[in-house]
Amino acid sequence: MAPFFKKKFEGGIAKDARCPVCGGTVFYRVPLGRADAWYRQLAEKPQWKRFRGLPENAGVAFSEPRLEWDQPTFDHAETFTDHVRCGACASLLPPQFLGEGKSRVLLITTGMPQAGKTTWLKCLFSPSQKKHLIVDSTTLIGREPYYYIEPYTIANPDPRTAVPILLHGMKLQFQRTTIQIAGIDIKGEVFHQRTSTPDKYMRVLDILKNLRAMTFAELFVMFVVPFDPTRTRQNIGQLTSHLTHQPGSRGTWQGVIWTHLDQAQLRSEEGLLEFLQSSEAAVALARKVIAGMDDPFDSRFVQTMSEIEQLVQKKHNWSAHLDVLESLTWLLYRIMVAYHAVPARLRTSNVEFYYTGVGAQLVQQCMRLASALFAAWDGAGRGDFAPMIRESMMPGTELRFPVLPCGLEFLHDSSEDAQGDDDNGLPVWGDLLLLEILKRHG
Amino acid sequence: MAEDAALPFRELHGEYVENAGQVMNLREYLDYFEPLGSALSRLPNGSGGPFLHHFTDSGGRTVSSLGWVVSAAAKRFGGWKLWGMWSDRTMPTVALPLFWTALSDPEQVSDWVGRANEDSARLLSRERWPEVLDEVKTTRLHESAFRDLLKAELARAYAVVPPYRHPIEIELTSQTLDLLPWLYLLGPVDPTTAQLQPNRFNGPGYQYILSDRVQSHADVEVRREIEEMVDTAATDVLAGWEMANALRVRRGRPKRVESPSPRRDKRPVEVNDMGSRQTPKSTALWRSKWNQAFSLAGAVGKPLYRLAVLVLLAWIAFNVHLIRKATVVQPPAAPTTTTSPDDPSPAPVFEAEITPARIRRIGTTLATKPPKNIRVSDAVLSDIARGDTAATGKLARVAIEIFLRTNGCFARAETVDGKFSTAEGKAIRNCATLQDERLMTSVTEPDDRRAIEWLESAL
Repeated sequence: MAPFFKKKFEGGIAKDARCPVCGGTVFYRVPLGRADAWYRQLAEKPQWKRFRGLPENAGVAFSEPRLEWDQPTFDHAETFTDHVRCGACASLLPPQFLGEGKSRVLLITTGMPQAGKTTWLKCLFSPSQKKHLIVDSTTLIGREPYYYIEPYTIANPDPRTAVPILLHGMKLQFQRTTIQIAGIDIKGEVFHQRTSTPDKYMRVLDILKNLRAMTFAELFVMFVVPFDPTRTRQNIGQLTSHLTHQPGSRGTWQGVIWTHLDQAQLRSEEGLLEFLQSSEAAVALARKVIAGMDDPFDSRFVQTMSEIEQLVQKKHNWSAHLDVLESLTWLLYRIMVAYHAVPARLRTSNVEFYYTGVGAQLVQQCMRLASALFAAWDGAGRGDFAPMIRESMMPGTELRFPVLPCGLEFLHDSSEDAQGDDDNGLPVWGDLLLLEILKRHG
Repeated sequence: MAEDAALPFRELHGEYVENAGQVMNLREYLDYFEPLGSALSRLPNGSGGPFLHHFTDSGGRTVSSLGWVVSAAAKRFGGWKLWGMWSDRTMPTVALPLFWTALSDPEQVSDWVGRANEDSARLLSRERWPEVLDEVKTTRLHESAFRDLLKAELARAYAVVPPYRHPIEIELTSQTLDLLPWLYLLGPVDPTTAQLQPNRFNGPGYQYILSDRVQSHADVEVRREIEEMVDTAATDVLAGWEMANALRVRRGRPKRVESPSPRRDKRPVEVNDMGSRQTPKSTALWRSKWNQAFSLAGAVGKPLYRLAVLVLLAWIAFNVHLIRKATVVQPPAAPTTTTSPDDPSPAPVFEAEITPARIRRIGTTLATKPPKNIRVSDAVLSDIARGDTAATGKLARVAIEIFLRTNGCFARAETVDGKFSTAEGKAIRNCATLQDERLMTSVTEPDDRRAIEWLESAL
């Protein structure tokens, strides 16, 4: 049979489907085979590496020595399969990239090495495998991820590779809403090494251009930035400022996934209380959290958080008071952790609580404080994200989460099945992004 | 750090840097080195082994490197640290065994890279390798248990059928890593082209897999020539290496259907470029001269011998022609088949018709008792079970796929699916045993009848 087809709606491939890697419009189906077979065949597909800015003779890193898992090969399938490759660059395309534009969103995540980007994505794909959930991922959202993230799989999305981009896909279902998320994960090293490997960097920019040319219901560009009290870590904002100012970027949903908040510490209890002293309610809230109360929430919580946010926004010269700023960040994270207990106390499921009534207000106020704190850290540093955050927080904006605060908390488990897995943890409130996506298309 | 571009060998360092990722001093080539540590991901921090790695970049420049790579899991899962030397020319074969004892110690890199540069005249001249090989330390080869282990690993490696387009897997513990330089020097892959890495790569060489489990060697049959080669290398590395060269040359030659003269166990070693005009100063150089003389005799004798065989064949053909002309035509007799116990691969008897019932029967046997360690996909088994016209072709392709796997021409672990993948297509073209059995009518089409007959007898 002829495996090539073009401009014809067939088997989930839309008429205007484009390859995000090369912009190709011709596709073919491939069967599954051993990863070892994939690796051998890759030597005969130089275009796969070329379109990723990799040298043709360079190997592709695999973490398992025998390459024994299954992977869609480069052979043309003789029968119908679920796996599709681009006819031009031979990239494996998750079905979400090939579907109708109206029913899918594009999600771009990018960040520097060790920002927590891959961990965050892994938790989104398969939260059931993760332990120590601080806010349980909801079972009311159905997730059907595409298993293969070439050259890896969801079970093994090895972050140590020279491959600069990974394509992934997920079908998201909530009640009667179904959304396809076509995701692209851009490796941080690409930006870091751009002076030595300009070709790879340019390829990534080409891919971003291709993505913007594709049809989609929404484009989410998420910059993953870790909490860094030393302000010495290079972050993605320092390297990709032009990405946030792309023509048309204001129309897209841009945000920051602020990771590693769990590492914030209470540096100065006195300094924190002194900073909050103009608001009695804020001081009371801080005292409750410092005392370790599980449930610091009361009827004044929303107002209190709003007052703290205003205090943070009013203050200037944060670089001279970083101990207070870190203590405030610690306070925010403790409140987020405490939120875990509230839905159970109110006898409601998480997802409803996030969405409705008092729960939605709690979440929104936490998000606003997170944005203010992130902006303060950003301002105390180089201010790479300052314009983006300012715009997002202006009155009347519809963006709820310019900053999505997360704790990539690696709580080590002593149980046998957790041995050797350093990824135990959850991006706290990570599901909120999924909920936001669903909400915008509900 | 020796960064003088004029020096043939330069230091190589790389490690995982917090928040910056993997970095190395040969930064423009990081992409080529990045896979080196990937297979060590799940090993504890600091565990690893040697690498002998080379590649040609997009501009056609060949970069070779030799060193040690370890897991840097403490810094980050999948991170690695490496040290060693690199050169923009082919790494000399003798470098790995010569510097082996110092390779694992990062503190000694400057020392042995410096020595390599000082000694570069000898290292870069193949003619002088015999001198260098005399300096290789053979301490572990004097241990009988170590030699047995090496023999078994060599036997396993030599059992892999050439050509070597993919690495030969060697499973080792960290205590038996000392086998690697010997395996590299004496193994079936020509050391001048072989790579040695802990990760998978495309090309000839050895991939070692570190584990805690000591492999059993009870089932390994060690050939006499391998035994002799290892025992010789223990006392005389050069002699052992020459025996390995001879063995590799023999294996690299196409098989002959019949051998008119008994095969010699010891053949002259191919050392054509190892002659020297200088007065020999060591036994190694004397040996080299002898080998040259042998090689010269072989070069003259071979054409004469071939000429004699041709004349003999022509004479036989002429006589056969005369006999046939003189013979009275006889009525055709019923075909008979005889098999001899001495014949290692008796031709199958092509008697029975290929009927749907027979196809189904073979399919059932295949489903219930597949050949050991071979997985046949359910889809193709159900197609065969239907017994329709397409089933014959599918069963024939299955037969070829099984033949490739049972004869070491293709990985056993790959599922048999009744379709020829690109890799299988290549294996078909390269599998000498398959060609000998004449189970294919063309590169892509199996001889259904012969293939099915073969499968039936194999089951």
